[in-house]
Amino acid sequence: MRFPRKLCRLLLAIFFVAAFPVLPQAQTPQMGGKLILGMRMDPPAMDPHRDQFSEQFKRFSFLYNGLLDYDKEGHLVPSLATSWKYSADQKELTLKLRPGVKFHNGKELKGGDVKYSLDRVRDKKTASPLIRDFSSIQDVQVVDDATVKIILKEVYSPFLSKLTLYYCSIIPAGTEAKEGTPPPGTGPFQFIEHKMNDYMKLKKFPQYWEKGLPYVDEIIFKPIVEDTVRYTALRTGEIHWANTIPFPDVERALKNPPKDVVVQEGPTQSVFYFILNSTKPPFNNFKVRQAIALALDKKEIVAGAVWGRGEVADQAFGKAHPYHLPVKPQDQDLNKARALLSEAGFSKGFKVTLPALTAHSLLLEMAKIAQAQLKKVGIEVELQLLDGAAFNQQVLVKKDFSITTMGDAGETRNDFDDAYYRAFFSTSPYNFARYSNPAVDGWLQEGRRTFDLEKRKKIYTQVMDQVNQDAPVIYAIIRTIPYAWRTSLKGWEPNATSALCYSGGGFSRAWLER
Amino acid sequence: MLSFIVRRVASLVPVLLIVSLMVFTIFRMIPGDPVDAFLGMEQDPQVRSTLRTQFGLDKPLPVQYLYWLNNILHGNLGKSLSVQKNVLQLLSEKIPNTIYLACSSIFVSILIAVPAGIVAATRRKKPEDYAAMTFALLGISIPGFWLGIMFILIFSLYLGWFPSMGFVSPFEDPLRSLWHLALPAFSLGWLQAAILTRLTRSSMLDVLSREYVRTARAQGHPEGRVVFRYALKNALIPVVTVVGLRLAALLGGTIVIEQIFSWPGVGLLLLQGIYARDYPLVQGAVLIIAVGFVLINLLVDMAYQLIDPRIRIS
Repeated sequence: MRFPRKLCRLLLAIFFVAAFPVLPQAQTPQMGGKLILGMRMDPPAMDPHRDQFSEQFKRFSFLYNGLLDYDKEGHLVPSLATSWKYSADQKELTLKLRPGVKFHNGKELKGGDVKYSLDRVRDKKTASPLIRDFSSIQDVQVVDDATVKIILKEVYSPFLSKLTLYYCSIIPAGTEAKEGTPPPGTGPFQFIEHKMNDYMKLKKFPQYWEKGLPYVDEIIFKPIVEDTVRYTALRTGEIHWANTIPFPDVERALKNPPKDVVVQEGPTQSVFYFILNSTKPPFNNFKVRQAIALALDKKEIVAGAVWGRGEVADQAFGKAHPYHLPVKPQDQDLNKARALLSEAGFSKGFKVTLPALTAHSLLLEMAKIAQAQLKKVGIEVELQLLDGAAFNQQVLVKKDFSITTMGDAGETRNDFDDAYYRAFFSTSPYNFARYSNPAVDGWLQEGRRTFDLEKRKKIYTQVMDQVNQDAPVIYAIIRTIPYAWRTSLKGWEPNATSALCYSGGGFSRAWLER
Repeated sequence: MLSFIVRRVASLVPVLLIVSLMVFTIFRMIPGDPVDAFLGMEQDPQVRSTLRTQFGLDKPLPVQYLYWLNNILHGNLGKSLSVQKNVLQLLSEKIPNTIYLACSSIFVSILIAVPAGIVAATRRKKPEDYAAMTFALLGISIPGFWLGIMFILIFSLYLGWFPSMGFVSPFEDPLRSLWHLALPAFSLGWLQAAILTRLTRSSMLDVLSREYVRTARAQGHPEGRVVFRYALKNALIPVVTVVGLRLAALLGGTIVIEQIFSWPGVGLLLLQGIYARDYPLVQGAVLIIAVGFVLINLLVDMAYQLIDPRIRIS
């Protein structure tokens, strides 16, 4: 019996449609175009070794490379260094540089540039706020044009993380930032001009070392301070991409995005927490600190301060991050909190002042929610509203506070050591809680000498379990960023460190469909 | 006239000296300094001391003041600590943008307020008067930031008539520049218009009740002539004074509107300077604004004579 030819064709067509129903058409990136990015603010000055605010970091990732970088998931990967090797005593690190890399000024990357960059960031005159992160370096030696050796004073396992872009961008030997113009880098884009509060313009660097990249010709950073206006500018097509949209709009925008707009939440390392000054009464009593930790309802804080756009934190790294630790959970327990306060001699509660940063609405919201929650256990919190400079002077420099709210975007917090040694080692200048626990100090030092990731995870889990119990710092929120972009923008996706250009992704691989 | 101008300009010297001393002292009384602001969370003691020396904060305050004053006398407003650019250069970029916005918004407000005030006064206690006064009350009561955002949502997002933000120089592309100017100028102009409408109305009512107006009417002059030729000129004197004062105040920055519409003006720069405790930037900006204030008031005084020749400035 023969099948009719038409029937054969029909069956064949049905088979193919059923077998390959939604095969997407591979999209070929289109070259060219001007990409306009709506940013939250316009950071002044641009010296990659000296300026360290989050919005500055975001721009640096377009202009510079570090010796190493982070991939989409937040793992360390090669960048300007293709390989590295520790000596047997783990005090010498030899790095091989990527051949054929050009700076924006046309010069080729050589060992001398790496030495210059590392020496410059360590030089007191540069006034890099990150100078302490390089205090482990004894010397930087140029072995040859393609090889650099870094000699460390002692074994320091987190050192590789200090060689990433945010700590030490590599710039050509002898160059400096001048009058707000950043020095040349090796990144996918090069600096053209910056009109303060108006725009910053970058153009494609044709000799970028990743061949064929970037796709777009020009990048414009457009500062739009108001979230609502930035989101409107995106919807009207005046910008292609918005760095955060208003929290109240996120839920609706995720379910039902506006026409020609994509909305997606991206992970971040932005963590927000309470700091309790453990040298100041009544917080010098660990039972009082513990009571505060138990009195706070973190789920409510996440819901109230960031409209639920984030996760409850009990450590510095979120669940999706490779450095997330399996710490013991601690839930709100008002009865236990009251009992602890009674044991500490505060059965009737007490009054305390909380200096709050007005410039950061999230921190202010956190403080207000905590104010209401702590009232339930008899603690009266009075908010003292301060702007950035006044807050920094009173809280960070003079350490004149009992309890406060703080947070950071986390660009320079990529290792356990960055997060926990800085915050909890007894003599660290960043130990704002002035916490001191010899056992924790010991573990933190052990962490610095240990290279194996699993062993380090065990060490830092111990640290965090102890810290969560002693409560000098109460982690509360790890937020997400609600990014939004026009559907014409292709190839961009957020990464774990919230970098805008990163190894294997970001705006160096983004393109505009026209 | 010339000697009047010379004297007024010369009066700038003591004014600026007092302003310079005040801004220098008051700004340093606010808690927090440029190093506190610059370093954020990274308050490393070693870096702090380096920066204090680099910023010149290690010297006694009188020395810092005299050093700054000496620089000003040499035409140098210093270098911004946060932006790392020459203050004069930064201000010369931003002040024209603010003048552009401020003058446009005052123009819009006059276009709205003077006719509305005249109609309200001549049609007193009639629907036109109530409508004008309701508009004025709304204008005064509505906060600027809310009005700006509403304008953006209506005219940019829903109607798509104007861009929601941004600045284009009128020298670069005049038409596009006006297109970008429309919403901020109307937002700011609306608020100014509310004040001016009330003022024009009350001033017109006062003048319209004068005897010379009654005489003019009795002589049979047409009402339009009475209102526009005889009454309006006299009624405008207080309006011009307030317009001058508003314009001078707007030069100090239209911070809210600049922030909402991403308008790169001096207000936004000044605000950032204050947050960063950028002493040279804020001190320089306040001095320049003070000069502007005195000069605008001089222009207002000169305008009186044009409106009413009986007023002699000497």
